[in-house]
Formats: sequence, C-alpha cells, structure tokens
Amino acid sequence: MIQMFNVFKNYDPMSPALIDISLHIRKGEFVFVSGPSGAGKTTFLKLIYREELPTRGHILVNRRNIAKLPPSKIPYLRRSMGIVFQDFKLLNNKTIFDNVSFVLKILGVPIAITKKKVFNMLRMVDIHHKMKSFPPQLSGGEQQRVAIARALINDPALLLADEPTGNLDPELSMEIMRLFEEANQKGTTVVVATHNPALIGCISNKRVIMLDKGRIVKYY
Amino acid sequence: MLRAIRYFLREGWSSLWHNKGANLLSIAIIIVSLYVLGVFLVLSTNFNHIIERWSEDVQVNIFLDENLSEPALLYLQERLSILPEIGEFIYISKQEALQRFQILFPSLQTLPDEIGENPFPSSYELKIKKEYQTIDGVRGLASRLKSLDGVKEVSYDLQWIERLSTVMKLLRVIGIFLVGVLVFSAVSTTANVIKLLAYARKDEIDIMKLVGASSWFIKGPFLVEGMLQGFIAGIISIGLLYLSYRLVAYYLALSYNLLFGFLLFTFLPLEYWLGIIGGGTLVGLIGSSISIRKFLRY
Ligand SMILES: Nc1ncnc2c1ncn2[C@@H]1O[C@H](COP(=O)(O)OP(=O)(O)OP(=O)(O)O)[C@@H](O)[C@H]1O
Ligand SMILES: [Mg+2]
Repeated sequence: MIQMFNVFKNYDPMSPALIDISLHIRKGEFVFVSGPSGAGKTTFLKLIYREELPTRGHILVNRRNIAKLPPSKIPYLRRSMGIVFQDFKLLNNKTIFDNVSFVLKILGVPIAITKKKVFNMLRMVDIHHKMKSFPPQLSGGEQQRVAIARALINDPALLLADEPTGNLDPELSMEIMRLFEEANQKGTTVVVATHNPALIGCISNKRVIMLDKGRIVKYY
Repeated sequence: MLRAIRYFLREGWSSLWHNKGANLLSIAIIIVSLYVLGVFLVLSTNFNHIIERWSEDVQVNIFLDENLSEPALLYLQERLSILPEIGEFIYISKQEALQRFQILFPSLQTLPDEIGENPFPSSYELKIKKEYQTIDGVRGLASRLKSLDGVKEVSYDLQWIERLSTVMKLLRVIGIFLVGVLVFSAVSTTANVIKLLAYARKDEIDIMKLVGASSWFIKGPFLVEGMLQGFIAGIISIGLLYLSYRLVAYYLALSYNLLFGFLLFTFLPLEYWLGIIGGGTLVGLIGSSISIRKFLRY
C-alpha cells in the first residue's frame, strides 16, 4: 500500500526532518509510528497524503508515485484516505454535523444516507449530543473525536491518525483504538502516529516504526 | 451535480450576507458601470428611434432640364420605374410647381409675374422604399439619379439625420471607452473583494483541500458569490435606470408637448434588461474566478 525508497525530507538544509526512510506498509496492516517529539512522525504522514513532497527518494501509494501525481488527482488520493490531523483541522464556521458530512458531500453521497451515517459515526465517538455545536464550543478531546469521526466516515482504504488520542483520557483512548481496530478488521490499513507506548500496547496484531531524529531506529 | 449547485448557492449566498461590507463595495462599483452602460444604451436606442422615424418620409426630388422632349421624358420615367429603391413617384410640371409655391407663400404670389416667366423647373418626387432608407442608400441613389440624362439636380433632406448619426457614432465611441474602463474597474474590484474574503478563509480552504475537496468544489461558492454580486448589481441598476428614465421622460413631457415626449423617449427593451443583468453576473464571475485561482494550487 505504501512504499518508501530512501526518502529524505528537509524543511531547511541544516536540520533534516526525515533521513533515508525505506519501508513497505502492506494492505491491511495496523502500523504505529512512534518516537519522541520532533522525531518526524507528522512529517512522515504528511508525505503520504502529499501535503509535503520528499526532498529525495520516492514514495508509492497504491503503486503510484505520488510526487508525479497531477494536482487535479490529489483530491482523489485524499478521498481514499481518512486523516486525523494532530491539530484536528475542523471547519470552525460549520457545525459538528456539517464538518463530518462534508466528506460525504464531496463524494456525492445522497443526503438521507449521509444523515444516517454521520449520526451513527458521531454516536460511536460519543459526540452526537453536540451535533449542532461549532468546533470552538467544544473541548479539545471533543474536537479530537469529531476529527476521528470525519476520518472514518467514508470507510477509507487508508487511515492516517496523528496523535489521535493526545487529548483523550485513557478510557476514551481505548475506545478509539477499538474503533480503529474494527476498521482495520474491515480492511482499512491503519497508520497511527503516537509517542504514547500505552496506546501501542492496546493493539495485538501490529507493526511499529520507531523514529528518532528523523531516522528509523526500530522497525518490527 | 444539482446538489453541488445548490450547495454552492447556499454557501455563496451566506458568505455574501456575512460579508455585507466588502460585498456592497463591489456591488456599488458594478452598479455604477452598468448604470453608465445603461444610460448610453437608452440614448442610442432613442437616437435610433428618431433616425428611423425621420427617414420614414425621406423624399428625393429630381429637377429636370428645361425643355425636355417628350421621348426623353418617357425614357426617364421608364428608368425611374426600374430603379429598385424607388416606390411611388409623381411628376410635377412647371405649372404645378408654380401653383404649389403660390399656395405655400400667398404673399409672394406676384413674384413669378414680376420675373416674367415661370422660374420653377419640372420635377419628380420620389418616395424611397423602406428597406433602402439608409443614409448610404439614399446617397448612392442620388448620385445615380444625377447621372441620368435630363436630370439637372437631385435634392434630398438628410442633413439632419446625418448629423444625428455622427453624434451617435461619437456617443458610441465615448460609451464603449467609458463602459470599458468602468467594467474593468468593476472586475478588478470584485476580484479584490473575493480575494480578501478568500484570504480570510484560507485555513478553511486548506482544510477542504486536505479532506479531498476538488478545486471546483472549493471554488463554487466563491464564484457564486461573485455572480450574486453582479446579479444584484444588475437588478439594482435596471431599477435606477428606470427611475432616471421616468424622471427625464417627465421633464421632457413638461417642456415639449406631452405626446411628443412620451412617444419619442422610450426605455430599454427586455433583451437589454437581461443583457445588463447577465453582463453584471459575468463581471462578478470573471472577477471572482481571477482571484480564487491562486488559492487552489496544490
Ligand atoms: N513546516 C515546517 N517547517 C520547518 N520545519 C518543520 C516543519 N514541520 C516540521 N518541522 C521540523 O521537522 C522536525 C519533525 O517534525 P514533526 O512535526 O514531523 O515531528 P513529530 O514527530 O510529529 O513531533 P510531535 O510529536 O511533537 O508532533 C522537527 O524538528 C520540526 O521542527
Ligand atoms: Mg507531530
């Protein structure tokens, strides 16, 4: 599903964010990207959904070199993914319901189906009672759950989650991981970036990529 | 597709409403340019009306040589009857011309007697067919008539219309220039207003891109907003134009006689209304699509 060949990423010449990354994440895997703050986890994910391009090396997603993807195809790449951003990236002037249903609107899913799906998804992350609120009226953890709902709503082939439980208590974190595991069992490839070892412990059938200062230090 | 358009309309309208201040600015500028355009259109349609009315009774007179022989006269008559421009024509003999003069100017009745002979030449009065009643058509006809044997002089009264057409041509040039400048400034104002609004919503646009919205999907509401600006401006300027028209028509009616002012001064036909509203919408569309483009680069 995701192949990287000697990928380097430098935001500026002096301090590289990723150094010589080569790996293969297969379809259906549940992968953690772990490591201390500043290790390059977010950068790693950004390369996959093509917010950033590698300074050197090649990245294939579904066997396609995404650096060569024409701009008009980028939306389609991202529609096949669900992304939980570290900073949520919710639309502040849209309600919670509209934030989540926006993804389905892009896909052209009929209203009736959208309503049902969104309501179910919001209930799964236990935020359905705030459906008509706007993001700024929600706590950090609540916003995070909206972001998770939005990422899962279109049954993505690939789920990229950046520190998805950073604002949640342990109990809720476990529940979210159950949701991810469920999606994974239904065929979604999952990549979760986290520095929280407890989270990694939640999942039995997994792989772990340990990053430190931009290098892979462990991969099992 | 239909759903997308409905979504664009809703979003575009709500943004228009939320950002009344900035949007009013570009609406105002579009109104000004459409209003000026409209004024020129009203003037030129009315001048056209006047020209049409006038040329309806364009009459050409040809004056004949003295002592034209009977066969020559018949020959001339035949030539006149095969010219396509000419509808009816009547012959006016020297005697008839004199009588007409005497009826028209009773106080000068004795003048011919004093001169001693009848000074009026015989002539033909030609009525021009409607489809040939253009300035160029009449001119061309006149020069052909002049070259006929037995024709001494050709006269036609087109000066007034010619002058009016010159004024109209001038008016058209000024109008095109002025409207061009105004349309340009309207487009750039719309572009800048939409750019401002897009800047304010840059985060939102970036998020939409990240969750897979196509550029059309992001662009749509902004384009609709620009088009709504132009559409609203179009409707308002039609309203203003009509008000001004009524006002001017009222004063015309006061200063001339009522019927003259009312009959002659008309408002724009419906196609022009639609043209003005459509033009405004187009201005808004062009302005917004110019400025939104650069926000959509990946
Ligand atoms: N847009 C950017 N411009 C310049 N440098 C950047 C940018 N984004 C990240 N970096 C740098 O790249 C390195 C890796 O950052 P990254 O965000 O990938 O770390 P991370 O592992 O996600 O950290 P955290 O756990 O704190 O989220 C850091 O040193 C960071 O300062
Ligand atoms: Mg990070």
